[in-house]
Amino acid sequence: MKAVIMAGGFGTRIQPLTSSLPKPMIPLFNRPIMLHIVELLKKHDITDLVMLLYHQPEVIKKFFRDGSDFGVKITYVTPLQDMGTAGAVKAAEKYLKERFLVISGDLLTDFNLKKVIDFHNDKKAMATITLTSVKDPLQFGVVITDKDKRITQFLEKPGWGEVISDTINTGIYVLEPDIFRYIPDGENFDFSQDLFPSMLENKDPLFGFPAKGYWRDIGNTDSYREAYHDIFRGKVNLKIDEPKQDFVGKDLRIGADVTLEDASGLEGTVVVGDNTQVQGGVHIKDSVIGRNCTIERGVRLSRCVIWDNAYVKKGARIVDSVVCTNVRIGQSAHLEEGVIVADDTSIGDEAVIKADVKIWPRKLIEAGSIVTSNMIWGEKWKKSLFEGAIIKGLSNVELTPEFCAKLGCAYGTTLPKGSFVLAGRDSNRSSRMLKRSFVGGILSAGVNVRDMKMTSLPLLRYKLKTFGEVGGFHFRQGQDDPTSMEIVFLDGDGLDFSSSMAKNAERIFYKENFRRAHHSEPGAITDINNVADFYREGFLRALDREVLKKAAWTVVIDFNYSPASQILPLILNELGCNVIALNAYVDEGRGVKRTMEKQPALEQLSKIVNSLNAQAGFWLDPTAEAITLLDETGRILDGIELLTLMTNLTLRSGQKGVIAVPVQAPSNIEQMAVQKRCQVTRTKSSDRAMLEAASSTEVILAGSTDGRFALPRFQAAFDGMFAIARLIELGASVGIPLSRALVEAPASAYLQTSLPCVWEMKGGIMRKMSEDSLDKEATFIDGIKVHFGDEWVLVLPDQYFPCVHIVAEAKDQKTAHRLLAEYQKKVENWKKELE
Amino acid sequence: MSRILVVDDEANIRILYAEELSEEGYEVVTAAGTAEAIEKLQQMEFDLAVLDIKLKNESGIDLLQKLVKERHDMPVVLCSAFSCYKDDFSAWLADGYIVKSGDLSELKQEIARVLAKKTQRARGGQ
Repeated sequence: MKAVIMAGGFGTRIQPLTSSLPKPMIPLFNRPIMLHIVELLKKHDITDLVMLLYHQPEVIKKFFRDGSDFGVKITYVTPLQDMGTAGAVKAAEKYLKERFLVISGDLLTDFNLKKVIDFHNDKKAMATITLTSVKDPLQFGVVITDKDKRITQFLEKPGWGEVISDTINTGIYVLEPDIFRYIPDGENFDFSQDLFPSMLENKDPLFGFPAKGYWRDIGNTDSYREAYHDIFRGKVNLKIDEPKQDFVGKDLRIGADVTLEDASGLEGTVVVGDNTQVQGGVHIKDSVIGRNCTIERGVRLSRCVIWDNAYVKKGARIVDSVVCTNVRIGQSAHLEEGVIVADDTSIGDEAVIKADVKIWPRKLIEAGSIVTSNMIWGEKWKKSLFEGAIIKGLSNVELTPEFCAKLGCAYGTTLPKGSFVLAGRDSNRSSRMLKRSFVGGILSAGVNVRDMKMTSLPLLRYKLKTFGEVGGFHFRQGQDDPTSMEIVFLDGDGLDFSSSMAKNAERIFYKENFRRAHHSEPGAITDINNVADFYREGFLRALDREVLKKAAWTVVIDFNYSPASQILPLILNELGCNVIALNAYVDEGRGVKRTMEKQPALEQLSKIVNSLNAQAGFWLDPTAEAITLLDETGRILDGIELLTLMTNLTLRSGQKGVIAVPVQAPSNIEQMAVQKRCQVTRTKSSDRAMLEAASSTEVILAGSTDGRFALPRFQAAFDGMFAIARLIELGASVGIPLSRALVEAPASAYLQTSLPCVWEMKGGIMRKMSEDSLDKEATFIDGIKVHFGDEWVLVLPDQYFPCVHIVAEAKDQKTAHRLLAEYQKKVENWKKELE
Repeated sequence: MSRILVVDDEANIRILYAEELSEEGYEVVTAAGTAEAIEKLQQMEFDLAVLDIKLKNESGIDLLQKLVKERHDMPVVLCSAFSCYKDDFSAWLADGYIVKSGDLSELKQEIARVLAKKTQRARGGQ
């Protein structure tokens, strides 16, 4: 008698275990599930097999080949399309000229198949369906039989109200070749939905045999783990390749070439595959470890399934989880119950994977991370959510609506119940979608939201300076990567989140220690529409209207499709400026590729400035925080030149006070300030450090080296719109063209570069730099800055990326190049020494 | 000791605020309307003003605009019997907003918060 093994399924419900294997090849006690079926058939003298393949057939063929290694004869049939269960068997019709048995390749059962066949013979049936009783028949096909075991009714996947029996179809059938006349050629045809109901209608001899024994459909990851539990508990007998060891009170199965340092920590049923190394001090209970694995000291495994080539570092704890092939579990990492880690994934040291999380293949979980939700598409799970005041992630991949809702709830939990927060976003559609989810989370924590909807970040910060809200957030498209989303978090003063605020929100997020509002007390959303008028009033109050009106500059501004285009042209027109606005409309579809588009846009802007004889051109960053300036000749200024120009104009205008610049800004800022008896404050390079400095009443200008300025007279926050107006005002009041104002400023040669540097090495590099600077004049505001008279070099580790920045300034280009090259070489050498 | 200007058209409120805030250790000067407030501001320096929005025939918001323009370094806490002004963007110029209540603890907390913020600003945001 022949048997047909159905092995064509995609295994979608059991992902990610099937990410690189067809479902029948998933290991069950270190052998493919389907091999257990082959063994069962062999046990009942069925050795002539037809395997019906469809998905990844080559993996199955490569393993079983002609079947001779397993004592059977195998014929493979691979239909060219999905034909349904009966349709697929029809494709093998030419091999099935006599009575045959059909069985699924992904079952775990110890049914006595002989009894099923004998029953079929006795009843002279055309088809016999093997039946079993289950506690939860809802996901199966329920079968009703009469007292002669003749089938009278089918119920496919019934609801609880429809359940009239707990007897289900197990997918094991004995069939006569006559059934093929019911199955059409080349059509999708199913046994339980099409064939058996037709037979029932025709009153053909269709019987159900209630089998005794164990049966489980290994359809999803829970069922897969439960199958192991059942085997550990002895509910089903299974052939295990690894030989049983003679240890009293233990059921140890140890493969060939296994190194087992100490068996005292092993408990219950423990299977260790060939060539695996288990070091001492481990505690392993009811677990199966695959081949070529290493289990280091102090590892604790309980009810675990570990496939081949896994490396579990010392002190790791894994409970009731599945670790697939080529996985590395870091030192002291913890996998809670129900975790699935798919192939080729690395879990960092001390990482925690929360219960029931599934990690898809080829992921990198950073050390110390806490993974709370399934990780499917992204490549990396970061240790911390925040990069400064920003949470960044791929839109709808890493930052999904459900992730944002949780994040919103965590953020809301950090704030007083009943308080208000201010919400805003850019014009991007993903920003709107994700912001809505985030707002839902905030409301659930009992915090109210005032929604500014689409707005520019400077406006949101400006409103936060007033009373009413305890914080704010802004959703925007990623600045470096258009596929990513950034959420900027602000405190009640409109400043970037401090690290303690970020840590607080992060802790609540990871621990899921949310404050859920009572059903009658969720937060409310109110729209807030007149912030633009409020901003405009303050904006105009902070400028000298007379000077601006008198000068009546013509300026060209590329608004980059940002919401700033709805405000700034009107204000500048009111101040007497003639504004030629480019890309001055909001386009939700825009934004992508904009970084690449910047250079051509600047070149175009330069042409327009020249042809219109404008006094200046501006490229306003889509966030409306940063600007790029073109002088009246159309020359594009870089960030350092713009900072120099702005400083020179501010000082020439006669304003007295302090100028705040980051540690890497050029020293000509000090030279200019000294001449005008003003001071310079050097700050750390972080945005928050700069803006905190700008909050001082003494500061008249805070400027970065990338075109962002905070002018505390209006607001102590980076505001590209006000920076444009202020530059025009300063240029008009000083009364010289911008190109001349830049030429007047003391010149210097300023160079910078970045070198890749892994995170673990950054500290070492800075220690080496510190040792190297012992006999030199050095400052340690941020990174290490070494002074050589008027020249200096700064080595600054990047806060968010694995790189180190080197900045050099000298009087001439040659010296600056020499200094930069010298320190570049030093850092490269230190990297080699530290490896 | 911080000096506070309380501007309110109701004499009883002026007395109550002056007593309570003095007990908190502030030096309190009161004014019944815009003209008197301006006069006091010309005579001495204040660290903070507590300003009622409805001042008989005058508007506290107008006075607020004037203060922001001429004394932008002096924080103002608006104090009103009505919460609706919170949504008036002219009122956003203030540093704080309190809805009047017999219990003055919220007012005291807000004054302390705004003064602390002012001190922090003067120190350079550190």
